[in-house]
Amino acid sequence: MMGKALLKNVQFMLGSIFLFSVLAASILYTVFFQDHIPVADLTYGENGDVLARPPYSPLEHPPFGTDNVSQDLFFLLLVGAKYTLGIALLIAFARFALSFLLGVGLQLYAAPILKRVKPLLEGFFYFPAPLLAYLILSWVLMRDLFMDSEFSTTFTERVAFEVVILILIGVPITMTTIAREVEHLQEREFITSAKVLGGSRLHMLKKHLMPYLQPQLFLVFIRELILVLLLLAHLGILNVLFGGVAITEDMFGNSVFVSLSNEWSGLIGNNLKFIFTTYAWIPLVPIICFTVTILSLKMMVEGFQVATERASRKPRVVRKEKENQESYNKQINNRSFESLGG
Amino acid sequence: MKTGMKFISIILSILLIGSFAGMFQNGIEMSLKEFWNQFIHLIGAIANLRELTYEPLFGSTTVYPVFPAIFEYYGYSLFILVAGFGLALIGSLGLTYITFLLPYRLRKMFIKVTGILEAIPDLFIIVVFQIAIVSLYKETGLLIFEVVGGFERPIVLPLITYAVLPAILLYRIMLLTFEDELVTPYVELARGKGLSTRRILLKHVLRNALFTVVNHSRTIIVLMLSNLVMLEILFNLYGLTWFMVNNISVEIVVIGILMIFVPLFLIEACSRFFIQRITGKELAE
Repeated sequence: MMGKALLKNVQFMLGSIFLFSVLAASILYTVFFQDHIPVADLTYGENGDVLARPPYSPLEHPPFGTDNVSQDLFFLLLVGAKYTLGIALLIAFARFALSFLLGVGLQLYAAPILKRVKPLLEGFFYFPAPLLAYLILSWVLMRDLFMDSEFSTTFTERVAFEVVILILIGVPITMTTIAREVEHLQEREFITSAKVLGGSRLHMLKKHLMPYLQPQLFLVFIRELILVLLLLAHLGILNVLFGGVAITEDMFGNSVFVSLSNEWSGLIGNNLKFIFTTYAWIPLVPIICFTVTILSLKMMVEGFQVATERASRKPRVVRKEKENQESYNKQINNRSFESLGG
Repeated sequence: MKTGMKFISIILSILLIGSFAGMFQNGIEMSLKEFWNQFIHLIGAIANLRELTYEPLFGSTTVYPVFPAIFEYYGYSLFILVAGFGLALIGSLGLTYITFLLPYRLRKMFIKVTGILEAIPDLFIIVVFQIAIVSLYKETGLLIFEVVGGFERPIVLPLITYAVLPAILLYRIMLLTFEDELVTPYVELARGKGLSTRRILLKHVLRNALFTVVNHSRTIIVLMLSNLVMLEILFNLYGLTWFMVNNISVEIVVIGILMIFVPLFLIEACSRFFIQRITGKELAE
């Protein structure tokens, strides 16, 4: 029922097909081409003189142009997509799972404690997420390096640390949201009757709460995904790079930092300095990619809401009743015809 | 009384988050003891505000006192925040009014479109505005607004850019609440009495719809706070969050957040109080 309504929903399908195809294309490119990124050459005229040199604009080198080390931006972003989306999916899912367990568990089994703890979580509303993440991560990921030009932690440790922190700072708010959702449901009448009939809390959760909670939870997850993607983009601007840094030389002979994994937020952070130059497309392209991804997620959210509304508006029971009514009407007609004939 | 408790618990909560962040400022040290030490340290720092210092350049030996230098940054940020919200409110009100003079189908479409548009990342809007102004300057030599800040602290362009997203959010909220209000009996009565649409919208519906807007204002302010960070970094505006990011330390960030939190909380509490007095409705927490 629900699945059909979703399949018919244009918004939802457009959003999910876009996301899925980007992810699939990125992974397939790794499998078949081993992340090969084409490098554009200088453009020569007929008698060997240089006509144009990278970075090429999107018009000269479609679709996205090249960056300052003359790598093709399209393939750069394609390779980076699976890291960005993968990290975002991982963090969002971990946030969601933790918040679900904590939110539902506390609300069902320890509601008084939750009520006490809630005000202590309110501070997260006033801490802008990028600022908090930057505050916690900046020493481990950046200042440590500046002190004595060497990290005191390994690459894996740093990535693990960043992932854990990005998960943790999202949990309190999401947890409160889910707990509030459960609280609203608990006020419904059918919960009271289930309680009177002696249903345990686990039974209540499985049989009575989950059917109502499920669509809400899907929305919470997708919204979390949007928040994580946004946070990653913001951290990119603040130059907190996922996957560490490497140094290469660009076309002008300057040594520049390059994000190791071509992850999107790293691409933004590295290239932001070009925003006021003629090469504005270099940071603009990854920003547009983030924007399109987030918008397609939002389309999924909106489409999903419309679909659930439609699905709940036409419950199966009503239709059955209508059928009964129709067959009953037919009977009456037949009978009245008979009686007329008799 | 209840409001006072809430005020204190949020301050405590901000301090606790700060102490948590403090465990990672010089290596990763996670233990309850370190957490407690950080908490005590933070309270000590707040008790002796005058002794708090910052290094204007990383690695430089000269240090400057944070107070009163921070007030200049603070005033500017607070102004941008409040003026941005005001601009968004006025803009969305105007848009809503115009929309309700349009046919019903168009209105439905606007609600749908804004539902998706409200998710546009702030940095996209900021960057597009900047590139547009710069390319206009390159084409015509005409610089309408200062694009990059500094000590001069430009106002017009950052404000406009800042107000776009909250305006979209408010616009959508207003469309939905106006839509709901328009089918209520009192509007029908007013229509029946022959009042003009304009008068009904501006005088009667608006008053009741504002109630819902205030209810949602918290989410919008939260969104605006995190957008403020990006705005100040990308425009290089010398505001409070710029100061925090460029002189990153637990004490400065916690004090900065408290400085933003206190006026916001007071404004929210006052507006709640007055709206409850005026409408008699109990606002949701």
